[in-house]
Amino acid sequence: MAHDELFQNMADSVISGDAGSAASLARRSLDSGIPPLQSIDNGFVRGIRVVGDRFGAGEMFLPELVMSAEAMKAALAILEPELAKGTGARESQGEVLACTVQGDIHDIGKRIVCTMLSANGFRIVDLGVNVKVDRFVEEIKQRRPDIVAMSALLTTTAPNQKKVISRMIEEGIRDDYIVMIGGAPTSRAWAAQIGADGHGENASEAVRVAIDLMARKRAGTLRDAGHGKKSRNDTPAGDTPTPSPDDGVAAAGPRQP
Amino acid sequence: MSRPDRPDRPHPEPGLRSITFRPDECTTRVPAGTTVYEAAAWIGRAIDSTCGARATCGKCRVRLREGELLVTPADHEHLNSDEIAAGWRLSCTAEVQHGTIVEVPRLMTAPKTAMTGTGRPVLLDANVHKVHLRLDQPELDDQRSDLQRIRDHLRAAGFACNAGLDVLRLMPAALRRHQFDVTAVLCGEWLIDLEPGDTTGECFGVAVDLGTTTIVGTLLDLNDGSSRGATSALNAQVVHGSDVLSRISHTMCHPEGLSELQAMAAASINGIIDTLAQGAGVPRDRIYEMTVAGNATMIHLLLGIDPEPLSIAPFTPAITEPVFLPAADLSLTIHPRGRLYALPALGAYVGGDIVAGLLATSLPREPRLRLFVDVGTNGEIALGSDRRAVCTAAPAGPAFEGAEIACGMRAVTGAIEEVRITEESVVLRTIGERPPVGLCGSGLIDAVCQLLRRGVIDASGRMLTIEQARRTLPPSLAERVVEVDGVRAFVLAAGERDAKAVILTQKDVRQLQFAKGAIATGIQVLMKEMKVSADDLDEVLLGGAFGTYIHPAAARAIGLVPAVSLDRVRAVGNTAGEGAKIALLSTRERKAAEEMPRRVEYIELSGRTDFNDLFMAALAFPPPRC
Repeated sequence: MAHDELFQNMADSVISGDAGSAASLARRSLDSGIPPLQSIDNGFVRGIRVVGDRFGAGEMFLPELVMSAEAMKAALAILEPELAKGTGARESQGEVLACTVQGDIHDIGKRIVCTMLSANGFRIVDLGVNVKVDRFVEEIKQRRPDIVAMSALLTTTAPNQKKVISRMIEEGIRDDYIVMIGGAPTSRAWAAQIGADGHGENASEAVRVAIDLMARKRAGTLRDAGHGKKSRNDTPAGDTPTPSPDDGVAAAGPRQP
Repeated sequence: MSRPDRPDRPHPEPGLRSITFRPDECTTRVPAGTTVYEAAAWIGRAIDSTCGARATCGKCRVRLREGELLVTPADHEHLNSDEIAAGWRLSCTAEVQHGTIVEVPRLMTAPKTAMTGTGRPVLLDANVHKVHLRLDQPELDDQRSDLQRIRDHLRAAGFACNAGLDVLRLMPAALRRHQFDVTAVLCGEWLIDLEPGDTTGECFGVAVDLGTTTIVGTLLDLNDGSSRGATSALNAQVVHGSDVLSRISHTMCHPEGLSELQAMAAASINGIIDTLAQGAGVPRDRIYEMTVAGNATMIHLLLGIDPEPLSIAPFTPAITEPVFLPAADLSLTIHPRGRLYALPALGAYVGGDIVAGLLATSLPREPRLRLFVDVGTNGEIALGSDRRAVCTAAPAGPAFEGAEIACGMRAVTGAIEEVRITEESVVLRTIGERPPVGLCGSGLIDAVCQLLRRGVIDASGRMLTIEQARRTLPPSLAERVVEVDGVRAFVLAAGERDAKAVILTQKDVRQLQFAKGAIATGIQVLMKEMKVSADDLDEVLLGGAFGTYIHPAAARAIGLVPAVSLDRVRAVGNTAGEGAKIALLSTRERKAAEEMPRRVEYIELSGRTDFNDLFMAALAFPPPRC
C-alpha cells in the first residue's frame, strides 16, 4: 500500500522531470528495503512509458522529455549499483547499436529513441551521426549487438539504410541481428522493402517494436513471419522510400542542418 | 578602432580598407585590392562608364584626394601626365590598398534609373548594348576584315567585342544584305547579332525568380528599365515532390531523372517567356538576356548538373560561382544567341535567391544593422551591415507550407490566412473569402498566437486538457477543445454541411515549434556571432511570399523573429525576383552580387556545439507581452 504510493511518486517524478525528487525517492526505497528491481519496474519505468506515450501524442515536448530522461538517469544511478551488488541484477532487454546513417547529421530524433530504449532497459551504444556504411558494418561485427538501429532523416540518405543491410547480407551476417530503422522519410513499407525487421513511427513505438522483436528472437520466431529471408533476398523494388501519408516525424524530431 | 556612433558594434574586418567618395561623403569598406569602381558599385554610387569597367572607354576617371592609388598602364593610355600628376585615375583599374578618399566628377549626363519593387532606384547599366553601325563599305584600299570593321567601330563607342562561330557565320551576309547598316547586339562583350537598320529602340531582357514551387518572370525594357509585364507559373518539377530533397532524390533513383528535371525547369521558364513576349507584343528574338535567381538545387537542376552531393553531408555544391552562358544551351527560347546569367550562391543552402535578396535589400552595403529572414522549408537568414555580414540556413521543415499539419495546406483559395480569437468567438479570414478548408502558414502562426494569448496553449506549447478548458475558458471557447484519436485539438471551424472541420492539433503546435525553433536558433547563432542583441537591430526584414502575408505581431509573439518593436519589422516581398531584376538592369549591381560570397560569411549551424542547447531553448514560446 505504502509501496504503491511510493511507486506512483516515482513514476510522477519521471513524468514531471524532477531529477532531485527521483533521486531522493530512489534513496528512500533503498532505505525502506524495497528491492531496487521493483522500484525500477513498478515505479520509474512506468513513468517513462507514460512520458513516451505523451510525447507521441505531442502532449509532452522535447525539453520535457529531456528532463524526464534526466530524472530517470538520476534514479538509475542510485539503484543500479545496488542491483549489481545483490542477486537481482537488472536483466538487459538487449544490446542496441545505433547510428544516424552516412551523409545524414540529424541527431535529436535518434537520441530520443536511444534515451527511451535505455530507460526501458536496453543497453545502448550510440555511434553518433554521419556514420559511414563500412564503419557501421565493422562495428556491428565487433560489438555483436542484438539490435542494429539506423536513423535517416532525409529522402536522400534513407538509401544508406538499405546499403548497410545489403552489406550485412554480403558479409553473411544479416540473420545474426535484428535490424530496426526510423526517421521521417521511412515507413513500415520502406522497412519491408529494404528487408529491415522493424520500424518505429515514433520513440515509444520504437520501444514497443524493439521489445516485441527481442521476445520473438528469444522465442526463435523472429524469421517466421513478416520480414522473412525471402523478401530480403529479393531485389527491393525501389531505391528511395515512397512517401506515404502516415510518415510523421514524431520519431525523428526536427530537421537539423 | 570602434566608431564613436556605435561603440558596441564589432570592429571591422582587419582586411578591409575604407574608401570615401566626395562630394557625397559616403564611405564603405572593401577588401584590399578592390577597384575604386567596384567599391562605388558596392554602395550604389554612380561613376560614368560605357565599357563596363573594361578599361577601354576611359570615362570612369576619379581624382585622388587622400591616400594612394598606384598609376596603371590604362591610366597612361587614357590620361595625360598632367592629369595623372593632378591625381586623376581610371577608377576601374585603381585598386584600393589603403584608406582612400576620391572625388567623383558629376555625371555629364543624368543617368537613367529604374525603380524596383524594394523601392531602391537602380542606375540603369544593362549588360546588353545595341550599337547602330553605319560602317564604311570595304574598298580596295580598305580591306579590313568584317569583324575588324565592326570592332573598330565598337571600340570608338567604348565597347570591346568577341564573336562566336555562330555569329561569324551569319556576319558577311548580314552586313552585305543591309549595305553595312546594321545594329550590333552585344551581350556583355559577346556580339550575338547584327540586325538590319537601327533597332536600338527594341532591347529587352527577362528576370526570373526560379523558385522550388513558383517561378516568377518579369520582362524588362533594357533601354529605360521599365517593366513590360510580369507573370508566374508553377515549377513543373513539383510533380516530383514539393521540396528540394525529393527533387534530388528523383535524380538519384531514375537514370533520366536529371535530364527530365532540367527539361521541366526549361519548359516552365519558356512558358513564362512566351506569356511575357505575347503579352507585351515583343518578339522573343528581341529578348537578349535573362537573369536567374534560384536556390542552389534549382540552379544545379536548370544547368543539368548532378545535385546529389548538395543533399548529403558535407553538402557540397558543384558550383556557387555565377554562370554566364548561351540560353540555348539550356533549351531556353529567348534570342537564339541570347545569354543567361545566374546569380552566385553563398553555400549549398544559401543560394542565388538569397544573394538576390541581399542585393535587393542592400543589407551588407548599408550602415544600418539589419536582419533578413526568408521563411520557407529552408529558412535563410542574414544579419549585418556594411561593416560585417553573416548568413546561415536553418532547416525549418515544411510546416510553414502546410505540410505535416493535420489541416495544413498551401496558401490557395479557402486557406485560413488570418485568425482572431475573442472571448466569445473565433473569427477567420480565408483566401478568396471562401469557406475554410485548411490552414496555410500565416493562418497557422496566427492561430497559435491567438491560442497563446487566450491561454489555450501555454508557453511550453502544451494545450489545455478538456477538463482544464472547461474550468478556465469561457464556454464558447471551451467547447472547441476536443480530443481526436487521443490527441488534443482546437476546433477552428466546425465544418457545417459539406465542409470538413478545420482543427489545430497539439501535434501541429509541436511542428510549428520545431519550425520556428530552427529559425529562431539560426537567428540567435548569427546574433551571437555578431555580438549583438535584439535591441541593436535597426530593422527586421521578412522576405519571400510568406514574409508578405505573415503578421509581424504574430511572428514576434511566437518567437519567430526577435523581440523588436513592430515598427522595425518590415515585409520586403519577393526579394529574389527583385534581385534578379536589379542584376538584369545593372552590371554594377551584378558585380556587387558577385562580391557577396566574399563579403558575407556563411555560418554552418550543424558544425556548432551550441546548436542543440540553443534549439531546445528556442522551442518554447516567448512570454506574452503586455
